Amino acid sequence: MNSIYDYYNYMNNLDNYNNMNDMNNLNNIIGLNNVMNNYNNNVSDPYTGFIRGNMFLDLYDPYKNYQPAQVSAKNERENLLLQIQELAFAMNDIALYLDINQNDINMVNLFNTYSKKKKELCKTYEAKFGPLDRDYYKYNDWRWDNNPWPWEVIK
Amino acid sequence: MWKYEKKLQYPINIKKRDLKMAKYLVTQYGGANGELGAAFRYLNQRYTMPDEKGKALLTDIGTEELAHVEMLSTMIYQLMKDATLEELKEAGLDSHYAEHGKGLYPTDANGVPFTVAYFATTGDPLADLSEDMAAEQKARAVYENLINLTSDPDVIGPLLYLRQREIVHFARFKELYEYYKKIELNKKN
Repeated sequence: MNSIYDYYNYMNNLDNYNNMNDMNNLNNIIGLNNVMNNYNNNVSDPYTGFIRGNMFLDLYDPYKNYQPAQVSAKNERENLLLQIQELAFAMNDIALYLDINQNDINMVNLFNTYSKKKKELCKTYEAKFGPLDRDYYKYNDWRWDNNPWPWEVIK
Repeated sequence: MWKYEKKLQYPINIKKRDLKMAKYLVTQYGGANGELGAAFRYLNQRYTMPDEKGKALLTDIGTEELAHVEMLSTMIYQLMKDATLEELKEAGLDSHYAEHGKGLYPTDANGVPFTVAYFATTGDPLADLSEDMAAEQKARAVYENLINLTSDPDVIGPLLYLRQREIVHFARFKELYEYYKKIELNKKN
């Protein structure tokens, strides 16, 4: 799989993520990491960028010998949410770059790729676990308050 | 307009109560170099940025800082959850309890309440961006102090993440600062 169009097609045909490692495995299987390298050698894969808090390899500056925490999910809800958080993070960090480098079309494309994937994951999450975002509310009963608030400790 | 998404920017799940750490961490909520000050410093400065780049960057970083306010609040809430009065007294949080019960309240680590003086805005883009760069560096240094004060991996993980965000924000502000500086120099020549 060499082009971004192949990647889009692959993503379009893919509708189910149940394993927390799927995203990373997928990156390897379908060559997303290679796709990204075509865009910009300076960008991490979404998982690495997310746990580091930094998508940009040349800006990454670790503290002493601390390693970033590995994040993991205890159930399907957390797993989906983590994948959404990873993509949202990647999009945010790329957006800050694009705010002052508007002409980098490769980075715009990368942003769009993640955005599309995130929308799909949000759709899956919201169908199963309730709304993340009031704008896309689509239930007949009021569920905004019946999944956990983000600050609650999950046991 | 702002939109709330029912998720944290980065997951936080602190299982061990640690009131001393809550008392230190609160400074990154309501202290001089904290996230609340950062969020509104940038969102307040953005109106007088000279072009689209500045308006976009300050809006987006300011918005991200609001997500960091939520992360810090979550950490403080979880570190203090289910504390007894005895434990609060022992950690020196009895005066916090007297004023605010078990509620959150933005102060620095010495209990000095948040003030809008932290917004530090001049209306001059170069001065404001220099302020922002310094603010990011100071916040990075405070995150390092906080990391040194704990051994709980549930606390260190989010702190390392937040520290790294200061580094990225500093780099973006610097990039914009240098771009504006170049324009100014070109005008003079």
